[in-house]
Amino acid sequence: MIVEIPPFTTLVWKNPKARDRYSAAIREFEIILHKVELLMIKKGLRRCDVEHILPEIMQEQLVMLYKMGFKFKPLAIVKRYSGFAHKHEYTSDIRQAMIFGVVGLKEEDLELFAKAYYSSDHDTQGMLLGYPKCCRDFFVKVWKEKEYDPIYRVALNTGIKKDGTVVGDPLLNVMLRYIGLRFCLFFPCSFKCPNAHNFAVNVLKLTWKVNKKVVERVLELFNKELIWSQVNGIIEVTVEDTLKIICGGYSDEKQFIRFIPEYNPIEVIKK
Amino acid sequence: MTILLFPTLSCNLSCLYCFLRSHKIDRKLPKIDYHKLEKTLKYLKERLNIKDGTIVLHGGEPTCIDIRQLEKLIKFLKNLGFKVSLQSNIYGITDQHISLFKEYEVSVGASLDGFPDINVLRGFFDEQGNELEDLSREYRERVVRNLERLVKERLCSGIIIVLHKMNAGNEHALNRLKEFIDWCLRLGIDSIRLNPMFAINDVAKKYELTNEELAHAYIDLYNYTRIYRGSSLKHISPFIDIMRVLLGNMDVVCWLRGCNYYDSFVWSIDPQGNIYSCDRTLASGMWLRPSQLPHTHLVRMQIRTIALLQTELKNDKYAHLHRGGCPAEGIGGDWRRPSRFIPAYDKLFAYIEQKLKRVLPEAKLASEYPNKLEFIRLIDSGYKYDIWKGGFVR
Repeated sequence: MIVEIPPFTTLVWKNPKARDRYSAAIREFEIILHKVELLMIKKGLRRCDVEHILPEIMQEQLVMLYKMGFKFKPLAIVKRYSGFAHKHEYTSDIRQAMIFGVVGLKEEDLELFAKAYYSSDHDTQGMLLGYPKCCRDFFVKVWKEKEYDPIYRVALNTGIKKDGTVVGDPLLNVMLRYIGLRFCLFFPCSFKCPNAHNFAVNVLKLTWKVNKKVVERVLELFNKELIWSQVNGIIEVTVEDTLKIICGGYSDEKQFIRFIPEYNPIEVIKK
Repeated sequence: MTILLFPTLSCNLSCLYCFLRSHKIDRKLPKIDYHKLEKTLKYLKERLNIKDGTIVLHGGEPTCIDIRQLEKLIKFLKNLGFKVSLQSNIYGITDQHISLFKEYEVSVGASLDGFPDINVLRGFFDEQGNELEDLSREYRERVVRNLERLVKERLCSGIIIVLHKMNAGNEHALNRLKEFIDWCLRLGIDSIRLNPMFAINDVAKKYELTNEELAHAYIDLYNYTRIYRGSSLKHISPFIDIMRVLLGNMDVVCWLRGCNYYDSFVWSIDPQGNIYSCDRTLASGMWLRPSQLPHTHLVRMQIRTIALLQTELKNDKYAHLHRGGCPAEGIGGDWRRPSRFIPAYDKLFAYIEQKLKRVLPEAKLASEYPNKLEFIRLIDSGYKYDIWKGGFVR
């Protein structure tokens, strides 16, 4: 059964040492990632990206995109939220609103994305965003089944032990995205998907180019074991002795996974 | 709101059900850093808009710290403009403590579970739960004397009694508990909290009351203490709190206000000035409180309550009033689930509701409000529930 929880994210630190080590890097990573998401279009790794425009800084945001050579097409006025949201809510109250739209270099890409967005064609949207076919197929399937945060399904596809343990590619860990940390920008069809891995490596390499120090720090978190669970529509992620993330889920089904990274992600850079 | 300061996590007892038995707690706390502590307390005072708040010295056992250190700490807190109280097992209270408390107007909340014959889960127990009987016997006798003394010196602000099989699990134990409560109230204690024991270890688990037993004990004690309810000076929780909630008054104990595990209504502070959530959460490991003050969305949006109203408490008549109870008591140790004692609380709610309806037949109690989510939204926004209208007024 679907549980409706308002969007929110709460971050809990284990101790001041963990907070001092990671909090600034987490904040900075979000800005770096935003740059990289756009850079990927320029590099031909994807044709579009999606963007949220805030009315009060709309001019600055749009000018910035224009100066970078991008075009922006607004798609919907959506309700603002704090933290993480699984899906958009729509509103007519401009004070609570932001503009959701698509960014790209070519008008026809934006048109194609808009058409796909309005017809709920997730496959085409995913294709324009550069996501691999296998992961798009997976998403289309689970979304139809109202799995809005299909972490457990990804774990099942990977191979999960009875105690909930799943060993996977740390770059495909999408359970830290609730606080903006991710190299894989979509739900991988499995935590071992090679196509998703290639995509995530591209993101990692580009973020590394922008700021090595921050990415190195963030990779430490991706190298840790974590526990992800959903109970009564509330998600809790515990990264071993470092931090906890609590955010809204969507299902009353009890789900639990213990994710173990199968290698140290810094090795990808060192290679 | 309650601010707890634990200057130590050491204790002079080793009670069977204590949360400090959890291996997730590092009991070796560093020494008090007054500079950091001052910074934290001033920050809290400003951000929580505290005018003349009280700091409760907690633990561990606060009387375990050296008396000179304790005086220094109390003086320091007084100088920052706080009142000081202390939650203690009252075992180690000495003449020096009494003088100190009198000098600095420190009130003492006592934690004990009844007369010696039913206060049997507190005392000296080893890791396996074996009791050191002679020491425990001496403790149990001494604390009753200490309680009498504290009340006589007008230093006792109230007592917390933890209900378990040994003091509330059968008729004989319950009768003795009633005698103890009666004795306390006649002695002059104004406030009694009756909390169910929730075991965090297997040794204590067998002493936890079932919901049937807890409901029976609560209803029995509710009826027994009715003679004191006419006196506004006597505060017996949870009875007074449940009555208030049913009447639409939210000035109640924390676990009826939609507490959230990591963002509770209790601010616990360690000797280094680090802020944690409620002390009850420490058994599952010490995690810093989220940085947003006074509260995060967890409390502001009542996330746990909203989740429970759609799931496990969907058909619970009183869910909008108890909001799932204390998250530290969550079923299976999960704060996202309702307190394991909700079935007992529901029975107590129903019983008190029935009693109130007999006295106020025309009233529309808060339990009768048709839309539970709306009730929470409105009452948390500051609207008042009017039992005569059965609706909200500004």
